[in-house]
Amino acid sequence: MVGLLSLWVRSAQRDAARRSLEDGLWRLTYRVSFTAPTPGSELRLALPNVDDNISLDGEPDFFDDGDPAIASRMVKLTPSGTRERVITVKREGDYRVMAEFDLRVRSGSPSADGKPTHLSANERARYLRHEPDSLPVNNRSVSRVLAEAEGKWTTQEELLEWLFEYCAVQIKQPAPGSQSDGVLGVLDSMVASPTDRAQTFATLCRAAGMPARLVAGFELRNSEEVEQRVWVEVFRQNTWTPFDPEYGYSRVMPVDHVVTRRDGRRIVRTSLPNAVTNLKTRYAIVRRAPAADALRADMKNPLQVFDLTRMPVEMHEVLKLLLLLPMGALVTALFRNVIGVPTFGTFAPALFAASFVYADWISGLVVLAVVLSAGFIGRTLIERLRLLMVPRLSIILTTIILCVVFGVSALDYLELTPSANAVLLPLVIVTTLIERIYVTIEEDGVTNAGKLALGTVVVATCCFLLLGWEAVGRTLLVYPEIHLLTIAAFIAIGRYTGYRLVELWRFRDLVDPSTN
Amino acid sequence: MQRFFASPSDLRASGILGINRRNLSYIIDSNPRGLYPRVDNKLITKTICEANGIPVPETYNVLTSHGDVKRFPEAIRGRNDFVVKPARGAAGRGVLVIGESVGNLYITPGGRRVTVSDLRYHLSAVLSGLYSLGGGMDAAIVEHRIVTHPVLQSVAIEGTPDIRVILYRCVPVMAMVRLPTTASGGRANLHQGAIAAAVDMTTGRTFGGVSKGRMVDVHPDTEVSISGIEIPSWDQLLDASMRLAEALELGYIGVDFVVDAEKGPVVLEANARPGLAIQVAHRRGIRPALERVAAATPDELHGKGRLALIAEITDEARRHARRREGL
Repeated sequence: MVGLLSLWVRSAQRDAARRSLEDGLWRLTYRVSFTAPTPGSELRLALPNVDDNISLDGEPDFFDDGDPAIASRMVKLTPSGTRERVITVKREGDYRVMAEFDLRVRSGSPSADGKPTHLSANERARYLRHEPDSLPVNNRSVSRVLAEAEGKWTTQEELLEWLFEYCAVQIKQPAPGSQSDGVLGVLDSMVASPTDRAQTFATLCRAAGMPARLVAGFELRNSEEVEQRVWVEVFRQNTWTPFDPEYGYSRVMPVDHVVTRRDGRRIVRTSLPNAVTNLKTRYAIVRRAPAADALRADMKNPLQVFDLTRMPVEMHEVLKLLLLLPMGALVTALFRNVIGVPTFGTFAPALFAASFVYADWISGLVVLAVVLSAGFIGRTLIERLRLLMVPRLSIILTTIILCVVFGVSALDYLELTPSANAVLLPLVIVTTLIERIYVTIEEDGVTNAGKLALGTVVVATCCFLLLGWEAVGRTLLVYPEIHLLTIAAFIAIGRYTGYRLVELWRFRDLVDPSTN
Repeated sequence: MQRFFASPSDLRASGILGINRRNLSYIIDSNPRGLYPRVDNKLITKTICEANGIPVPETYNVLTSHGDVKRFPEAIRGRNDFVVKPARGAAGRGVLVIGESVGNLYITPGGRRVTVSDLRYHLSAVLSGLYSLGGGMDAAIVEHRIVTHPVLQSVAIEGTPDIRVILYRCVPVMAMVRLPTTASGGRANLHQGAIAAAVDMTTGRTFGGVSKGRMVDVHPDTEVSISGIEIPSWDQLLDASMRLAEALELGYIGVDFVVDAEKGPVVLEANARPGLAIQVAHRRGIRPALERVAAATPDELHGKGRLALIAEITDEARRHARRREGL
């Protein structure tokens, strides 16, 4: 429990610390000037949309607040969900309003799947309708393009892709300085300004029976003067999916694209009969500095002892290996107490696996083979000398070390540079192990020794697979508190009173048929 | 029907005790760690036995230093046969049996010749702890060689049959006899091919027989039937096991006996972690008996009450055996 809790707290903390540095922080400013011809003239500002990736730091600032000549209110449009600030003037005259938004953009990749939504029949009709000014769906030029697509698609997705390709690639950019003239003009001339290109795509989608809407927003980048952008959302597979024929993004937009208005191409709009005149808008986007404490997060602090990632990189390997050893012990405990596989030595398999991970496994195996055979030959030879145990073991150890040292030297001579780490095999363990194997063969026969050796190999292999798993080591280094869970697992195994798996086999004949 | 695996619930229903449960529910609870040396060190076991009048093989000599090894053959001059064993050995490791000696040459019952220097080497290996639990320094015991009782002679090949009694709370709950075979190299270890036969606890008569998990009726080397053998001096043996369990103050032990032709049953060693193979010999789980003893009243743990309890457990075992036979 403690392990889980601390794991959760720590991962949340790390996430927060990383995010506060990596998140994009931007200040978006609208500057709008206009002339109100009559009292009651209205201006509507669309607000940046808040979603999974983008959030607002604090409340937005509206600098019209407190101006006695202006009354303002917030509305949320349906069905698009766009939030608007409606500014109504009380007197005619010239006005300037300003709004500031502090945005926080979450780092990382945008999520590709939007929220599934249900489109009612009304909404569907709305997003398919003909809009003479912007999306002239019912038009011969539009039908002509669709007729061109005929026979080139079988699925809706293919048709969508064909239309997108048509708008994004086949329609060219206008010559600098010139303008395109609405959707119909675009289809004639095959050149389009950014907004017209989006409108053309939306029109074609609607004409093909796919609900589509325009989206107005910003691409976030540091600039005193930014243009708003327009792209399209198409309703497919129960979600609104973004398509940007100008930049070529399809089905997912980069995280730095902020939606402000859906179902409309202008961020600031005014409409009859209360329209304002001389409407001028300027948008600025400025980068904000991250919070001061996020920058100071790596200040010296005793709690950093628990953060192993701050250690020099060379030490990471060793630390990982150390942290992995309990995992190896866990595997061993599982094998011995739950499955019932006997091994030579308690931790020998885990240590072998660890040293194989530390070296590479081929040189590990070679060294192990050399060491075992040298040890056995040595053991057989000195058996005749009748020595006491400790001196005898020491001779074996010395023999093994000499073999390893000269073996490494020989490999070097042959210019096969051996991995120096392979030499670090726990030689002392091997030495006692050789003695154990030898005595087991003498006392219990080759079959039993073979069983033990097989068990050791199986457990060591499992340990090796687990320990060699890069992700496990990295996770442990970042969250060493996982070992609280390991300890919990050890306690669970330590209290396990059930049968070992091999006992199910060993006692299979003892099942009393009369109890069934 | 022969199956490869039993389901855990079947084993539980049959009252089979697994290693994990043995360790956690019986050994840790009943056997205080501090008392382990009493059984792990045969010298202490022997001392306790002698103090309580429980027969053990006569000790000829105890070697504790390498100086003793140098002086060794003189110390037992005049003995033709003897056994060398480590004080803290396990599973019969490091036991050397000398059947006869001719001058400076010693001969094992199997016919292997052992020179004085072989013997000294073996003794120093024992002293350095090669065969011992934990591997530390050990002592070597030289003791009387058991001459197997004639009744058991026909089923003992190259070794000595031993009788194991499992006691829980000083009540014998199961017993078996282990018979060495050629395959087991004269040792009474079941996993090496020795035969185990269950022993009826009130009569001391063997029934059934198991070798390497298979039912056997006759000894594979001599073709002599292994069921219906009556263990000599059974009541004396059972009584000795109960007195030893009381003296050792361990709740869950296995006591190993051998039956000497002259002295009758003598204690070879006691074991604080007795194995589970006895269940295979009985073809029956040990847990029903253990639970019956756990539920016993204090009166049932002594004197006549205890004898009645043993009879009750044995009756249940017989019923079980008959039921299996009927099926």
